[in-house]
Amino acid sequence: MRLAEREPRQRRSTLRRVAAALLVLIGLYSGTPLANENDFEYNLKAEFIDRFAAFIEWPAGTFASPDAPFVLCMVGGSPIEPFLRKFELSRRIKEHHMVLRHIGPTNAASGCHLVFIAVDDVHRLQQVLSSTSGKPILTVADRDGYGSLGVLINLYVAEGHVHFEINASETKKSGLKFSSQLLKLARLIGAP
Amino acid sequence: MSRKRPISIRSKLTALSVVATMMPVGIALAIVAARDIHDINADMIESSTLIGRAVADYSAAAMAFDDRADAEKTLNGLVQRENVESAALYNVRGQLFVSFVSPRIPPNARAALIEPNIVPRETPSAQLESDHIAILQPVEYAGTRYGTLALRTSIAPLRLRINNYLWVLGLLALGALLASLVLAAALERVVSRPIVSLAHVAQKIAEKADYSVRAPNPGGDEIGLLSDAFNQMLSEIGRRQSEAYRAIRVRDDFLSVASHELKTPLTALKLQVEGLLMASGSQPEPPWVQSIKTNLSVIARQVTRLDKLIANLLDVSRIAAGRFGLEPKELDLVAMAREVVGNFQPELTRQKVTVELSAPDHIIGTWDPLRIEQVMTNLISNAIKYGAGNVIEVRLEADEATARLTVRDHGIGIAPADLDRIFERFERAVSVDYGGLGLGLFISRQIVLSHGGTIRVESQLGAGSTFIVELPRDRQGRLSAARGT
Repeated sequence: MRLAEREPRQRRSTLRRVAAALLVLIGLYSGTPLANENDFEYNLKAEFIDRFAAFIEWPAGTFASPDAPFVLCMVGGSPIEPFLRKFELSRRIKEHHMVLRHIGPTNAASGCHLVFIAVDDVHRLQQVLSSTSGKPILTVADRDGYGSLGVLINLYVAEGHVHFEINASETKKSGLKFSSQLLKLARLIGAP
Repeated sequence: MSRKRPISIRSKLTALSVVATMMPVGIALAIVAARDIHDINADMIESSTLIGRAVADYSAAAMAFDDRADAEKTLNGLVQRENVESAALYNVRGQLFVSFVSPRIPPNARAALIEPNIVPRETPSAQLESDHIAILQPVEYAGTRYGTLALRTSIAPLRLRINNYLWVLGLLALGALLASLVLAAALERVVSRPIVSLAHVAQKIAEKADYSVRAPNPGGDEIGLLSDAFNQMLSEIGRRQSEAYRAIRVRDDFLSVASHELKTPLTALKLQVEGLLMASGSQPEPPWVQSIKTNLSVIARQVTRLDKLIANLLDVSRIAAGRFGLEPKELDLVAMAREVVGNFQPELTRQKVTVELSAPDHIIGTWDPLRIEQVMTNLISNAIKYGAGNVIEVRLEADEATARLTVRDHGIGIAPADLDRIFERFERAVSVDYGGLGLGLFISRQIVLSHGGTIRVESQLGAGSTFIVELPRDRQGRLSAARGT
C-alpha cells in the first residue's frame, strides 16, 4: 500500500534503478563466474519469474480492481525467497503491486496468480498441481523433470545459463496466454 | 559585321511548339519527380523503420531472458533482407549484446559497422545518411525496455529505384518532345506552307514580271487575308502597268505624228532657202544682197539643224513602234568614213579641231549606208562637241568577220556612273547645255544592234572617251550574231 501511494514517476525511476542494477549483475554473470554463484542464480531466477509475467497474459477479470495485488505464492522453501521478497517492495507485476504468500501443498491455490513450487516430493507436487491445473495460475518450479509432470514453466541451468521449459499441453488448459516469443525461447514439452 | 542567319518560320514554329510543350511538361515532371523522390525516400526510411520495429519486437523476449542464441537467430534472419547491412542489439546500458553483419559486406568493412557501445535510446529514430539509413529502435515489451536495436540499411536500392524512376521520367520527357515535334509538323502544314506558297508566287512574279498570276487562297484566316491583299495588289500593279504602257504608246504616237507633221513644212522651207541661195549665187552682188545672203545662210544652217532633230525624233518613234528597218547593201566603210570626216571639214576648220583618220585602204561589207553614216556622224559630232578642241582619232580596222570603228576624243570624258545611261533615250552625260535632244547615242545603238553589232564606251573623266563599234561584215554574220543575242 505504501508503494502504491508514491508518485508514479518516482516509482518508475526507482524501478529503473533496481532493474539496471540487476542487469549489471546479469551482464557480469554471463561474463565471469562470481564468488557466490548460488545467490546469483536465484537472483536471476527471481528476475526471470518477474519477466515471465510480462510475457504472459492472465484472463480478463483476474484482478478484482486496479489496486488488487499480484499474488505470488510459494510452496516449500527455496533460496529464491529473499529475492522475491525484495520484489514485494520494489516491483509492480502486470501493473499491480506484488505480495508473496506461503501456502501449503494442500491449500487451495485459488487467489494465487503465480505459484512457485519448491517441493522435492513428487506426491506433494501432484497435490499442488491438482489445485492449480486448468486454472489461470502460473506454476513455476526449478527441479529437473517437473516440467513433464505438469508444472507450466520449469527452470533449469545448462552451460552456465538459466533456461526454461514450458509444458505446452498444460499451458493450453490453464487459460493463460503465453507470448509466442516466450514459447520460442523455451524448450517445449508435453503434447502441443 | 555579319548578319545573323535568318530563322525560317518552320524552325520558329518548331521552337515555339517545343517550348510550349516542354515547359509545362518539364515543370510538371520536375514537381512530380521531387515529390516522388521524397516519397521514395520516405518509403525506404519507413520500410527500414518497420524492419527495425519488427526485429526489436521479436528480440524483446530474447533480451529479457538473456538468450543470445535466440537474439542472434533473429538478427541472422535479416540476411534475407538484401538492403540490411548490419544490425546490433544493445542492452539497457548501451553495451553490445549481439550483432549481425550482412555477408554481402566485404570482410574488411564489417568491423566498422558495429559500435561496441551506444547511448541507449528511449525513442525510435531514423536517419538518412549519405550512403545508408540508420535506425535506432528501443527494444520493449509490455512497457518495459530491454535494450536498443541499431539497424543499418543500404540506400543502394533507393538509388536504383530513383535512377529507374528518373529513366522513366526521361523517357516521358522524350515522348513529350516527340509529341511536340509532331505538333510542330502539323502547325507547319497549317501555318507555314500557305506562307511559303505565297512567297513562291511572289518570287515567280518577280522573276517573270507576269502580273496575271494569282496566289491561292488557303481560307478565311489571316493568311487568306494576306493572299487576298496580295492578289489585290497584283491587280493594281497590272492595271497601272497597262496604264503606263498606254501612256507610253500615246507619247510615242504623238512623237511620230508630230515629227511627220513638222517634217513636211520644214522640207518645203529648206528647199525654198536652198533655191534662194543658189539663185543669188551667180548674180553681181550689191551690199543689201550680201546682207540677205548672210541671213539666208544662217536660216539654212538652222533649218538643217531642225531637220536633223526631226529626223532623230522620227527614228526614235520608229524604234519605239518597232518599225526600224534596214536597207543593207555592199559598201566601203573606209570611203564612207573619209566622206563623213569631209562633211565635217567646215566645222572642224571653224573650231580648229583636227581629225586623225587611220584606216586600211578598204573595208568592204554589207550594211545600210545611210544608217552607218548616221552612226559615224553621231560619234564624230559628239567627239567634236565634247572633245574640248583636242585632236580626234578615228580608227578603222577589220578582220575576216568583223569591222571595228573606234572614235577617240581627249575631252571632258564621262563619269563612271553615267556610262550605262548615255545610250538611253533623252539621256546625256553632261548637264551643261551642249545642244541636242540626247537621242544620238540611243539611235546609234539601235542601228548597231540592228546590224548584229555592238557599241561600247571606255572613258575617264577629264581624259576623254573612246567609243568602239563592232559590226559583222556580212549578212550571214549579222544574222548569226543577231540570233546569238
